Amino acid sequence: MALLEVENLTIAYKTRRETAIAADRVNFSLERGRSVGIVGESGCGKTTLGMALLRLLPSNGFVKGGRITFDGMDLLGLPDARMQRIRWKRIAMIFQAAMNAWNPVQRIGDQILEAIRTHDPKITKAEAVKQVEQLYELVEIPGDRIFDFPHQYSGGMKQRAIIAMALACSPDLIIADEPTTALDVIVQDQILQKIKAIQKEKNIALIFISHDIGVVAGVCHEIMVMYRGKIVEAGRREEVFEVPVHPYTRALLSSYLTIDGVFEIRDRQAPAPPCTPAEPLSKELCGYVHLCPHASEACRSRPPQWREITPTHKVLCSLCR
Amino acid sequence: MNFSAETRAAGNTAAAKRSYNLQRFLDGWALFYENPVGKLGVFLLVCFGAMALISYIPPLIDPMYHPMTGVDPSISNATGPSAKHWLGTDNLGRDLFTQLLTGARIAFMVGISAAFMSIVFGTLIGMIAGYAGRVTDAALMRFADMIMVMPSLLVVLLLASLFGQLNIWIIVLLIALFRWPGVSRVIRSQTLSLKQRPFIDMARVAGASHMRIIFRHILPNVLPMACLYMTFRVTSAIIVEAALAFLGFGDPNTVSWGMMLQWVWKTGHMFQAPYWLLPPGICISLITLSFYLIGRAMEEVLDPRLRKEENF
Amino acid sequence: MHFRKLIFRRIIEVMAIFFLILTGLFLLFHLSPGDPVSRMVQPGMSAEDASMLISQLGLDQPLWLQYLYYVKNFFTGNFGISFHYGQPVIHIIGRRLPNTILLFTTSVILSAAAGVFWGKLVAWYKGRPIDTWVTILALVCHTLFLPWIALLFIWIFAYHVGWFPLNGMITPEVWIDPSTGFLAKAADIGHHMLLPLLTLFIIHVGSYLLIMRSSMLETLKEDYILTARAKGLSEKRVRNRHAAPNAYLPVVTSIGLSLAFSINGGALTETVFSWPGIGRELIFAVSNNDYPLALACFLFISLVVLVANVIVDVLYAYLDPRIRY
Repeated sequence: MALLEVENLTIAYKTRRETAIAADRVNFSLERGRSVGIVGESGCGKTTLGMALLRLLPSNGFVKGGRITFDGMDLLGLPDARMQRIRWKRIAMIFQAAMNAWNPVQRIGDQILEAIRTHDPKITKAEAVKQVEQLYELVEIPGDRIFDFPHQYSGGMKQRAIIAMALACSPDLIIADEPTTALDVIVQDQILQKIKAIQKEKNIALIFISHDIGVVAGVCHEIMVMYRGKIVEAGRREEVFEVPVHPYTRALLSSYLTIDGVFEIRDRQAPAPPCTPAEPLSKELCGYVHLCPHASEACRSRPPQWREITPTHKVLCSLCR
Repeated sequence: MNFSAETRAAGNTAAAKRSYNLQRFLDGWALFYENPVGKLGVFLLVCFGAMALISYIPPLIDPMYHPMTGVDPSISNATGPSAKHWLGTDNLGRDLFTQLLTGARIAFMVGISAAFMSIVFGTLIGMIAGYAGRVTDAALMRFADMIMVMPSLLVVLLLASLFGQLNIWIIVLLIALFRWPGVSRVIRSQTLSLKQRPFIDMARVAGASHMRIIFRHILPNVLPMACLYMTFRVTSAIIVEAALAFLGFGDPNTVSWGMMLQWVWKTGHMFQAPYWLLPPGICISLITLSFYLIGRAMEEVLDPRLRKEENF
Repeated sequence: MHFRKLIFRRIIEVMAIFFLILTGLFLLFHLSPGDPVSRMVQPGMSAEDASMLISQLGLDQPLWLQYLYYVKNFFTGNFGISFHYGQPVIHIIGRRLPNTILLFTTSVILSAAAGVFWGKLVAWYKGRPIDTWVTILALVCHTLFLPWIALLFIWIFAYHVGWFPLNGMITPEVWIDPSTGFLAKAADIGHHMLLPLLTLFIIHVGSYLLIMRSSMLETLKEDYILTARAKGLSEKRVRNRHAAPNAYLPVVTSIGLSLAFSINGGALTETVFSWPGIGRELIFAVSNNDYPLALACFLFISLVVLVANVIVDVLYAYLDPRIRY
């Protein structure tokens, strides 16, 4: 049985004017120890998806429909107290802006200890501190920095400390939301290698959210491409990256530069324009129809269908085969 | 580069800018008006404004209604509300309702002029400090600190004792002199951030003098903030004037609400004449509330982050 | 370490400001219309007393020397003789200052503590009826006119209901009686202090509550609150351990900024309740043209505000580790 199964998940936000759909009937599943990357532009709904899994949507966000099943449990139906026990202990999150993810008036060590001791009330302080020391070794931060304040850490250190904290309770699943976007390139690479190594070593399932398909392809077994709330293509890393089928995926890939030139990019297109959630979207039709170079009459009148390219690679498009 | 595009744009947008600004103003007004807080504030303000305007009428009807000198010949002590005197009379037989109306007039006068003056000082000093930087900035801000530390009411009292009896305009000036530091700090930090913007550099390159830069470029941008702070200054100006009058240091030729409270207190009618004690205090509180509400509603318009709109 | 250096620097700054005020008042006294000598020496005094005072205060010296005398006199506590009381000013200040400090400190601490506590709760329940009502109440309290509320309280609680004394700080009979113990005396002061304290409390709690509320609302939008929730902490813990400690900071700053304003209120309260404090003394001195006393009262009030500012700054530095480390 898969560790995580998301069925027909629809998430919406209530604004002053309307109710906006952020994620539309998302379906995917994740096995233990496997990693999947969710790729898309800002505003396409990938962060919302990550938040919904932990039931951390803002006050005006809500799940409109669908199910999230984690290790056999229906997450959406759980009472708050039980959900609190699952958070961090079973599912942890690495946030996008590590700069602000730390409480500025508390020591970093205390914040990590808090995570450990909340989920393991019987542990003694000394043992918990030892755990933190081990974690710091894993992410390569000197142990004498444990009880510093966040403003005393550099950006890269803060990010690594976030990773350490995410691992603190040995979760089964980690959701990493743009964990390296705010860092410079060299540090980015170090952190990515670290994440990949830890994931393999500890057999943790990983959902890696990013706008950078290159980064995702370097880290995850599978890739899902999201556009304006819908998954438009999903498959194994090699399939999506080397043989992109959906016009949006191809546009994403052609705007991605690589120096090592290992991956050949076929059919160069104009770079993908950004998502504009402000534009009204007919919920049923393909969201990409106004930008797709191959859009046909069929696309404008009928909803797109899921088509299987291979048993592991599928795409949501009326034309692709 | 884009230089030519910008200068071209700058040339033909005098008219465009006006209509853009008008549009922004109307949008802002719509947002302001939607807010129940703003609506209540404006409503109260209009009521008080009406009071102030109406205050001219009663003395014209009958001289006995004059707030300072009008004496009802048939009454010689404090009496309760009656048909002739809607709020009653004070211990000298003067009509309380007219006094209350006149108080509104004085409150507006004092509040708005003192606030206006302190905003002018504060904005000027804030802009100069932010723009000039370094020594001037440090000196001006230290000076502002010093003023801010002194309790405004007590300073004005001290000055009153040194300079003799005060008339209302001197009081207004003194209040303004001690309330500008707050706004100057905010204007200064706004100026500092504006200074970094490219359009200031452009103006300098184009040969504009410092004065011109300050008044043509920086001033229009800090003006909304200045106006916002003006509403808060009005409330404090009204309160300081009322407190001064209450303590007996007001202008003896004006009837303000604070003065009314002073009379009811000092003539010992505090315990017997609620119709005299309550209305002035209620008015002071309500007018303060109205300006405060307007200020808060304006804040929401000016600072988009405060708007009630939930965001993604 | 860093902390001590910070405090030290702040104290120096405050001393500099005080010196500016000291000098400013000196200039004011000499620039204002009228004879400066008559401002310090009572016109009705005998000739030899007058000349002794004049030489003590250096009033017959050139201006710059007068200034030095003035500063020296400040530090030696010589402010001249009060016109009204006929005693050395410093004695009067000595008797009045502690009363003001008692009332002022208690009211600031109580209203800040209550405002912060309720503001924190109310922000958590934002949007619900209790939030709306408490906010409206706080707003009304914030805009009340202090002397008027004071009069109202006296009228209702002291006159009508008779629970509290009409004015003053002590009941003379209680204090004259040699057998009254310390507790009885303290209770007597407390009894007299309740109404003035209540007045100050009501006026200030409103604004502290509103500031804490908006500070909490801002803080709750921060990313680290999301982290705290994601860690599986209970809402109560998130509120008290993560949101509130950060929300306190702007409130502390604003308490510092409003200290001068609070002292205004303190002086008004003392006057209405006849609480024998230094604010009331200043107002009386001004009415009586008792210049030496007025000047000294003002200087000491400024000093109180400045010292309170330093204390607030120390508190802020203690709460915000970014300052200390």
